Amino acid sequence: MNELDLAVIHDAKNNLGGLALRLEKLGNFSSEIEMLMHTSNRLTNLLLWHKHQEQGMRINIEANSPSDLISEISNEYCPLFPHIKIESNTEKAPMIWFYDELYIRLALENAMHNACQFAKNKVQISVEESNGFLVFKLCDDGPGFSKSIIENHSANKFSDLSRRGTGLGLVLSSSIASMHINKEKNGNVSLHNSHGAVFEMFIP
Amino acid sequence: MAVITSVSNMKVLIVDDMPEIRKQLQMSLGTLGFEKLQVVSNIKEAMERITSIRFDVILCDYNLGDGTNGQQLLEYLRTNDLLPRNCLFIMITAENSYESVVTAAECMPDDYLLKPFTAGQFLARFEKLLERKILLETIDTAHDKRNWFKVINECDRILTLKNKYYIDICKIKAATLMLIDRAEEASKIYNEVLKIRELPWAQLGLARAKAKLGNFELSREISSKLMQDHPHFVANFDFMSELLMHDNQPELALETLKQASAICPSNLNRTRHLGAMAIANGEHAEAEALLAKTLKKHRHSPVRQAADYALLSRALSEQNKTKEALTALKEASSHFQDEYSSIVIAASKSIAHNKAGNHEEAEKELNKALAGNTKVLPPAISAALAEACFVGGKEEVANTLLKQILQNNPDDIRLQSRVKMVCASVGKSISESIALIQESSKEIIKINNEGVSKAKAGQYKEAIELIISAAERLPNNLSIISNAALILAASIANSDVTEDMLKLCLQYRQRVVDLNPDHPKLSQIDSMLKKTKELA
Repeated sequence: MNELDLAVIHDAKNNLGGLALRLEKLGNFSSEIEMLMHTSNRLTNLLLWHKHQEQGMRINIEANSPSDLISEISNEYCPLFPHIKIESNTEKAPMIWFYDELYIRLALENAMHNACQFAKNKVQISVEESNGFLVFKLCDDGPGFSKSIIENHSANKFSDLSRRGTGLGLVLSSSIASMHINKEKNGNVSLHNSHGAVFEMFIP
Repeated sequence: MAVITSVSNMKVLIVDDMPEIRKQLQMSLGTLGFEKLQVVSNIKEAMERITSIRFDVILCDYNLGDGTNGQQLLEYLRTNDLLPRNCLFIMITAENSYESVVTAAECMPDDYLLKPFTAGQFLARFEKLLERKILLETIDTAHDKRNWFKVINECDRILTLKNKYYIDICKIKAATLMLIDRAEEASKIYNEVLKIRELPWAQLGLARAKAKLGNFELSREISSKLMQDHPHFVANFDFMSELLMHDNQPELALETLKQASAICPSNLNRTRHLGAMAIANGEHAEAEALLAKTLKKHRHSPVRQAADYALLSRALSEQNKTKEALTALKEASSHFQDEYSSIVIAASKSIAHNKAGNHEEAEKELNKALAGNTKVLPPAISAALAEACFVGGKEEVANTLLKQILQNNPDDIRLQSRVKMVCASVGKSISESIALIQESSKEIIKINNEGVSKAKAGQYKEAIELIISAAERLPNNLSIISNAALILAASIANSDVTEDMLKLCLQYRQRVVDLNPDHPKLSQIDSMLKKTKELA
């Protein structure tokens, strides 16, 4: 992509956000707002992915509260998907963990959108500490990930253009997770199915 | 919806150069119940509002157009103490500017928001920020009043709660301890944080604390490793440059600072420092280019200072472009009329006139610069004045000014390097500046020793005269201040007590407590004062 491509995408992304704000003001447009914000997020993903390919991404690791992040994300998505019951569980969350909150939030928002979109009735989001990793987990009660998505994810490839998107969000999330390094351990994202799709992000 | 009702009274300033975005932000905050909203489009307007209104929240876009950005506004506000600590500064960034923001984050905003965001997203974040603001209120208030002792006490109180702000509070407490020269305690906290996680700011903090404690080898080791592990953490480059100056390697120090400036070109404090260092290293044309570019970019912005023009004029004068130097200073005079700026401008004019061979004008400007009380100037102003004194042949005055900087800020390697730069700029050798630094600390030891031995010999009057004159001149030198309190207390206990003496003694004692409540001399001072009470 050249400078012009990037500038146009950047601009389009911001305009979608602007449109979402206007609809928010008018009220009762939750699904339209969600669609706009998700499209805008996908453009952000694309721009970030391009940046990552060109010059790499730098992360800023600070002390954060995982419970706060989970509760913020679930509060944010509840009104956007009023027909989906979003349950958050932070009981086993450590008080503090170290990560780049802005990028982790972006990755979790991607996952949350997917989960809410494919869920029948319910999405569960939780966070806990396990074996030296912080584990963010999102489960939905939808049809689950297709075999090819799971295989492509393990091979770190984009999916074919499928019903479940391009896989860009997932690849970006994996990159974001793996940039988090602590004591020679890298973060990662794991996908599997168990009564629906299960997305897990491990942060060392 | 408790938050929504409470936000209606909050004063919010929105800073964004794009009219459409300003409108959107205003609209969405309005939807959330914020009623007291003000919007501005650039740093200049933001500054005007901030100096007249106490805002609760500043929502600022990183990119403000014309090469200016929100980080510059934040740095200016923090450097000049214009932002109350409990005012929330939220930086809005796009995906392409986020890294610039965090790279430059020597002074961090309270939060970052990635564009675009909905009102709902903003509210979710804002609630968390408010929660933090309420918990940290006592620390913030004490910080604004520069009551460091209280800041530390409040940090200790919150640390016992072991809550989610634990690491944040450790950072605040350690930074405060460093401010008041309690580097040993600060280094313990940094080590404690590092045991939990190797965070770059804690590593840098530890390196700074070790340097303050005189362990330069360890400090260098930590800073070098940090440079390898985090090659974009520019604050560490600044520190490494200070260490290299301390090691008398000015060329390497300059190179390191250039690297930092290349990673993060928009930081004005660094640009200034780089300009001064380039001049000290004889790179006058480079300094001129850097400063001219910076001033052009910030022509209409209040973040520029008289010092920027002074440095430009200095670079020009050294290349015998004295006419251009004086033009730059004339422009500076039209923008900056405050006391300190006037001193810096007059000092720089004096240098330019001297270089042009116009010694009479030079003398006139220098006398103007020296007319006020030169004992109470901030270090940067004293340094500028000292440089003009050297050029104008007033060696003794120049040396006194530099010694004052050194003696009032003992063991501050940043200011020591500043003194070395002044000396280098006027063509003095490195050994001359080292001699000056050594002489300065020897003088302090001599004053302390003389004062104490005179007091021991019962010559209280002479001892008091000597130590008080030093204490008044060097209000930040803890060894002098504590000895002043001790000698006064001994005199009160052993000879005549006057009300004035007791008052002065208690004043110095309080100053010691403020700077270091665990200072070893305090118990001696107090036992002397107790003796006085018993006599009474």
